[in-house]
Amino acid sequence: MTLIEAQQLALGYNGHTVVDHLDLTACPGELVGLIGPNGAGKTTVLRALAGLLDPRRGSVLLDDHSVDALSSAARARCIGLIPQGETYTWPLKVEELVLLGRAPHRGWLLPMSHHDHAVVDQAMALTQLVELRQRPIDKLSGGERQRVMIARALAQEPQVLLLDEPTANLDVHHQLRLLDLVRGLVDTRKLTAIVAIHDLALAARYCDRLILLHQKHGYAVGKPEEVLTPENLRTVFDIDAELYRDPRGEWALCVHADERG
Amino acid sequence: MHKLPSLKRAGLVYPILGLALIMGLVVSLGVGAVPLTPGEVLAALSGSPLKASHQAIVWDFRLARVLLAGLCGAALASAGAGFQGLFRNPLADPFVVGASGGAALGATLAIVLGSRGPIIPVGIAGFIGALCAVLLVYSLSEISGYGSVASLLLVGASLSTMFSALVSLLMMLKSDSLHEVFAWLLGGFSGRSWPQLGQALLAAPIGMIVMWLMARPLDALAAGEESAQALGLNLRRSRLVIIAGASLATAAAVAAGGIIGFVGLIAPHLARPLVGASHARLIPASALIGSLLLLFADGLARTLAPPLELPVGIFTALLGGPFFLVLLWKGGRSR
Repeated sequence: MTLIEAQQLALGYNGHTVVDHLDLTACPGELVGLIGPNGAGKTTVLRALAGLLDPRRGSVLLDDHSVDALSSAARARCIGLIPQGETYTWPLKVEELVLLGRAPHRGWLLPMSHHDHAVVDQAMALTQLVELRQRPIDKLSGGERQRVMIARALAQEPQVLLLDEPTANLDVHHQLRLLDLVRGLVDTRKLTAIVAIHDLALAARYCDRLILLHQKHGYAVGKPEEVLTPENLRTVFDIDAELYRDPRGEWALCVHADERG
Repeated sequence: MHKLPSLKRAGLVYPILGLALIMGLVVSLGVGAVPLTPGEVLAALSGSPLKASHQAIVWDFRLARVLLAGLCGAALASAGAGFQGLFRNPLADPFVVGASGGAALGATLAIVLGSRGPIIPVGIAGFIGALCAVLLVYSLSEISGYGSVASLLLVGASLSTMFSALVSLLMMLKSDSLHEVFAWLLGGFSGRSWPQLGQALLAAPIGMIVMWLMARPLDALAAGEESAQALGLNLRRSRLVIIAGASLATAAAVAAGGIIGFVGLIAPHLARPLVGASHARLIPASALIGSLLLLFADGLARTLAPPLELPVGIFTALLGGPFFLVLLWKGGRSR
């Protein structure tokens, strides 16, 4: 049971504080959404959780052990981070990129083993990339690229998956397909997932819990309907909106455009 | 850019390149003031020459030089592939972090100060100059606080400019050494033989092997520094190792042949369509192609205006420039 937890986290760059006094937990089998306006610090929080940014204060714990104490390889075996908008200089092939996910296990010098290839095959099967394995990355669509990054993270065999805006730049169909994939992985493999996401309706629909970042703090935490209240939406996003159940019983967001501001 | 898929699948690229390299070596050994046929070259190599003089021409005058040209091409191409990967920049070449400026300054100092009697061999001075310059660039970019590849590029560019200004200044002040300095700056293997090959073999293969061993980190860097770090790569350490390996290979080539441009830039671009972008295959393929390119350029340099030997750097640039443009044009069209 791996649980990722942040206690009284303070984060920033060059004397400029981005997030302060942030508490956060996510449990296995849980998909937690990190929401907030532009610049609220969603990416910064994910970087700190992945151990790529040292907190000013507070700490990130994995099963009660500090992430700082782990070597970078050990950390990468526990936590898979999928950064936003990865760009590739060279047209590496899908399989070559997914194989890189084995580096935390195999190291940077030794050849990959049969087991490594088996794990990579499985990761590509889960993300429906098997047919594209020999395709150079620059010949893939946005949705396919996002799946390559997820497959690479799965090849790390992590317990925690951190995704930064995975649906940015995808059309509606691919947004849903991608979040279905993430939701499925969380449910079937009991992964702990934290996803930074802009789209509030998608966040409400797919996440078990939401963390709303506002003015450097965790402004609200809880179930979608507890966090995305009309009051919170007005205060944080400056919109007149409310969450409601659509005819099929899914969460949807109604934004009242005329009364905005 | 993907014209040879069947070749790729058959894994024939390396055998073909290897065969081409052997043929290139044999042809190259036959080229010169006394032309030899491939048969005569092979006979001389195997120790049963048709004429005794052939044995001396091949073994004493040409073999070391030709091998040295091939080795330098391989070293420059490996370094080029490494630097392009590290900087995620298709325009990076072996001299991107100041190796050429430092080598030029070191060699010029050795020529100018040694005009009344050599103090230190010019090639060795170039080697030391190249490594010192890279070390200086690396330290300054670390001190600047950013420690990013962008700051490396900027510090490299500004120091290179300063070094070449100092070289120009020395050339103006000591105009009697002008010709010698100029010839060295243009690069070439004229008069190089077994001692220079021995020196190059001490350093170049180490740099090339280090570069090849860093193939997986270079692949990870292709997805961006953030992703590489998320995979557990220690950015600072791998950056240092890549720079050290590439600079060692570059400095060895510079010590042997002067500043030979374009080979290190072009060879990886030629290799990528053949073997793909993964560095474990790209670096050896680049090395083979770089070898071939420099053998070819050296052959031209020796034969186009006999008995004069032209600087090989002129040919790599003259051939490489248009070739690079064609590559860019084709790449642009296929997109």
